[in-house]
Amino acid sequence: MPKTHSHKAVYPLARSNDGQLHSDLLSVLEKAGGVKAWKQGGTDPHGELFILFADSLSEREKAALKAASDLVLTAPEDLTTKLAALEKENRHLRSLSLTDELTGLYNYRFFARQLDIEMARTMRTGQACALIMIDLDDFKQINDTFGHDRGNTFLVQASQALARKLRPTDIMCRYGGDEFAVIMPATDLADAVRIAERLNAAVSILSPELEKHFSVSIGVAEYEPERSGELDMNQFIRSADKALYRAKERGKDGICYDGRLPNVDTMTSVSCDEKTALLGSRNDE
Amino acid sequence: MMNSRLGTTGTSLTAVASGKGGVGKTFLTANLASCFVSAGKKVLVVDCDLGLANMDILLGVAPDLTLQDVIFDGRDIRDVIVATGAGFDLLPASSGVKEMGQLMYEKLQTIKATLNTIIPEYDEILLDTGAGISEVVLQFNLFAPKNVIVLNKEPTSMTDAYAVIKVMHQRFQTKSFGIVINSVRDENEAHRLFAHMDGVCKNFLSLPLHYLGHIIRDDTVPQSVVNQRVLVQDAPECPVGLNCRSIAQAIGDWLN
Repeated sequence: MPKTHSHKAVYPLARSNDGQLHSDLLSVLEKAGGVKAWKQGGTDPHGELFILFADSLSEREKAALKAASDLVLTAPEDLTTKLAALEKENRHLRSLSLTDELTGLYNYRFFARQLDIEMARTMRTGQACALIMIDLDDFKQINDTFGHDRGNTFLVQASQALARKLRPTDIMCRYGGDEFAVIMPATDLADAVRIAERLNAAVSILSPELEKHFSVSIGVAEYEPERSGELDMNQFIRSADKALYRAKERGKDGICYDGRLPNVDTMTSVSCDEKTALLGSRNDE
Repeated sequence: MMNSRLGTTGTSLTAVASGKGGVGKTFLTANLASCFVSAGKKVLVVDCDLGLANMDILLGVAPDLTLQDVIFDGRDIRDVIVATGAGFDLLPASSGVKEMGQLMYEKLQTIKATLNTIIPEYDEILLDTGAGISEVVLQFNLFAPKNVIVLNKEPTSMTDAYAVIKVMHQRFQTKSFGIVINSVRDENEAHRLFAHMDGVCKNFLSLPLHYLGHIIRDDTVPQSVVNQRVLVQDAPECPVGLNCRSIAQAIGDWLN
């Protein structure tokens, strides 16, 4: 295998499974002097695709290319037709996609599907799940001041800073625009609020050269089988959204939640003081 | 939320719990049931100790079907209920099935829904819940409007009983617990232990307890268990029998 030519290949992919260039093809092209005919060649960063433009190809080269690749275009009309078909397919695939292109987070479609599953799981196991809605405060101002590109970059940074503070089982989604949603399986309201506080603190160090420090507003809701078993998914989302709205109304950079937090201090089991009281002088015999 | 439909039926539904095992929960339940039978009531005992059921052993019955058959195989609950020699009906559970100790929430809902269908057929229903404070135990206690806690003077019994009370009170806002003190020398000792427990609950939980009665320590009790007999049926006028009757009376008057 002549390594000198390994960066030049055919369109779109002429690699055998072991990652080497198709040796039969290469030998044909070399013998026909085809390598000299390459006008321009390219490869995508992952090395899965080789693209190559040639001025002219001999019949033998064309045959060799066709044998190695399922996509060889020989006339400009072919190119237009193919581009249109690819774009159409691309759009279709995007419509099936479950991730958000900009942030790489799950998109709304996945969110809705997963939330439905988690709510069903709660009814099955009796373990509450929680939902957190996060909205970047004054994101419009960032966009207006620095432009959309910087705005987008910042959106990604913020989403990553938030995601780093989540647990492996939490599912973070881009809910839309500058709003994010986190599904928290097997999590009660108290734990969700605790993590929301962590998220709120995580973004304050991000500073997009704003006059005030950057912040998020967070709404938290719990789906609990005894009390919220009657709620449907939209009502559950709305309860978290309403809490988020209250957080915004209260001046942003804060957390609001739907429901009543248990008294965390006393939710633990029998305390030392209680044990001492229970066991002290019970037998006045 | 699914709880018992009592408002419409007039059935009295009582859960008996203890936290710690081996303090006489099953003994008390069976003997109370027998007292209610003597008072002319139609009584059902449900063995809710789904991990280590033993009410059937205590009563010397060998049921073919159990509550597990209702939950997992869709058997009609009426096919599973057996009549016991003590005059009350028993809904038995089977012992040692691993998955039963930690029932899925939805299965618990199934049990509650099924129980709801037979509640109107009885005057008194007693739930013998398991030891510990597992979700199954808590859910059965939540299901019953009357929560009886059995304890004795052993330190672990005191702390475990308190743990049940505390968890039920804080998680489900249960406000009324009836206390039975078991294995005491005399009534004075029972009152002292109750006053102590009551004081701790008032102090830490702002929750006064309700005294239902006591059972004195008596060798006839373990003997009746060994013989798989219900003591109050065989010897209704013995001291323990009188204690049980008094507790049954107190449960009948309680929350009414």
